[in-house]
Amino acid sequence: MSGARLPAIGERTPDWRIGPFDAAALQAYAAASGDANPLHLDDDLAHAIGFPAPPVHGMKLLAAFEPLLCAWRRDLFLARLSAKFVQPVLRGEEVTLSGRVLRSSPEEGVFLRLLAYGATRAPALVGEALMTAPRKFRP
Amino acid sequence: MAGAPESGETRIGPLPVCADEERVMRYRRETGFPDTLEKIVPVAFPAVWMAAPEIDSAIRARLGDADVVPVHESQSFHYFAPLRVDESYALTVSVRQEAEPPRLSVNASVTTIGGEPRLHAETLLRIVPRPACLA
Repeated sequence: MSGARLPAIGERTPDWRIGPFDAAALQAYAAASGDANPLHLDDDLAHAIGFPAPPVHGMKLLAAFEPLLCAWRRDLFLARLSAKFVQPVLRGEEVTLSGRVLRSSPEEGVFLRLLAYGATRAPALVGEALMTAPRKFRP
Repeated sequence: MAGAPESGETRIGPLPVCADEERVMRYRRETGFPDTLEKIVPVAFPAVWMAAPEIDSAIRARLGDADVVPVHESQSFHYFAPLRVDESYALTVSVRQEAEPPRLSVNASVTTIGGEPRLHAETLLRIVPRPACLA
């Protein structure tokens, strides 16, 4: 795939801690992304739905995997990224992101399971990523 | 641009979109990229385009008069080639409603202006009733 050694199956990315995010950070993400869903910004709505605080945008968490993956392997491109948002990370919580290699081959690239969790350590986001060599990912 | 074909899907586009540098850099800052001069479009950046008024209107039309809150259930981005800063693209979106469980499936395709595929993205939004105390 590339001249560099491919990561082995089971290899883990370093844990990557982000947050905690305050109301201003969620407002800033909403402005940058255009996602102004009030669920993330309105305390009353969050309380009424049963959350002690508004949840962080799932997309803010998913997008944050790219800096992690690029720092881990700068020689590979992120070609696919996906996630299920399993349970909310709430405003004010620190979040830990991590990845583990499930498959790795020159032909198919490096397939990782992604996980994000907040203060409870229960999975908040379960995702997948495919990283591939530059020459396989070019217009 | 929006219509409701026989399939029950609402199709929007193609809409012209651009990975303009200011928005790309702002999105990078808000999603934890290092503060460098690197001009790479984040994989999740096309989420920004999903806030287009045409798409928002189609989603609202699908929800009708229901007093509900959309909750992001899942998201995927599948790239065929990377996007480039300051390049223009064509975005085509379809919105489909699912009854059980109630949710919206939003599928987006991005191509170059010349029609070469760049990515496919899928968004699932769970539709949750707004609590009565806020209705």
